[in-house]
Amino acid sequence: MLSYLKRLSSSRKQDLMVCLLGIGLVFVAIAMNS
Amino acid sequence: MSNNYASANGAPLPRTFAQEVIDSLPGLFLVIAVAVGAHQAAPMLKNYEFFQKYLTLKDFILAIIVGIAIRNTVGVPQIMRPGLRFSTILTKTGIVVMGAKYSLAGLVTVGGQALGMIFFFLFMSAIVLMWVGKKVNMPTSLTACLAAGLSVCGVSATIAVAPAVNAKKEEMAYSIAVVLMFGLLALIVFPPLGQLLNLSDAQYGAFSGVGIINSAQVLAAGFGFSDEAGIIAGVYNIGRVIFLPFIVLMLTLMACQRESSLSCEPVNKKQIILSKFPVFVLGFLAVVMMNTMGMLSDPAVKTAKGFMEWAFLLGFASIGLTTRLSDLKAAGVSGFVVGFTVASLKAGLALLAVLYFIN
Repeated sequence: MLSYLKRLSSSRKQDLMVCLLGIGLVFVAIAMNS
Repeated sequence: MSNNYASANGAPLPRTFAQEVIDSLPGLFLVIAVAVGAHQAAPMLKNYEFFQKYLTLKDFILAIIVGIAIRNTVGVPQIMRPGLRFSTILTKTGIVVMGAKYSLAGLVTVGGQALGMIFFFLFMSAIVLMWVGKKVNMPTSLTACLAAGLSVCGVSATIAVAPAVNAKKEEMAYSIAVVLMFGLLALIVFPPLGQLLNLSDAQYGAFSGVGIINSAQVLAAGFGFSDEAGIIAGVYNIGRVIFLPFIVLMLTLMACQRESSLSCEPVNKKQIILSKFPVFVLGFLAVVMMNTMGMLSDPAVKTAKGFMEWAFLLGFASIGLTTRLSDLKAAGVSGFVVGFTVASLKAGLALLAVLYFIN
């Protein structure tokens, strides 16, 4: 997994980070209202 | 920025994550200050007749304008610059969170229409620009950069196409400058035009989603009209970036066909499409699925919308603070004429299409 992540281009890494950040924020919104 | 971290032989040492964070803090504080200032000041502007009647400036647009004003007047100190590089991350994060506003059914309704319109305008503008470029004897590499920038997604499409068509740095700057200048003008012109023509949220969202090219400017212009228009413009924007790999492939093939000097053979079509696919769109779709499965209550959607708005606001403030008007001069007069003519024609046709096809 780590070696796969290392092989990714910087824009791909940024996109993956954006996905995690965005989905993380949605989970925070769910947790704040549960 | 000077590097204070060097090894014994003078080579710079790799920066740790903690160092990167510390370096970014001053700039991030400036971004937050501009975003909060725009958010507070926008409602106050409504007290003035001019802004009430003729120029409605929502916080999203104001954040970009204030950022540009700061960067191009007093300037941004060197120490703050590392913190200004998160505009793309913030804007894309906002787009992922925006998925909370859609169910799969709603997305199919708006997205189906969006994909049809985007497909037509995107490929048409790219092909027209390649044709015009040939007629006015513009270099193929520059024409391909402009075609990518003015059809798909300003900055990222230009950067994606440039290596494939052997574009020079100046040609990339030229293309990006035209796209950003047109978008800045559209930010000011589109919202009052939408009000003047009494466009519905759906019509205006589609108009700005097709007519403006840069992602952040599409979203700012959409939210500058209304929240609903901003969300619809966002879906059109996603539709546009999904086509990015296909446009890159088409322009690469067209440029190769025109210029035998380009060393772009053999073109690996599958590799181009996979490598240019915007992965963050999958994050948006994942959030749409979470909402469709009922994981988000109404209050949670409201909270997520707040996160989305702040992500956009901070992203737009960063974009304003990194926009140097002197860079925009790179396009020169002829570049602006060709670029603005095609972009204005596209926006005009988009307006006619939304008036005719969308209620």
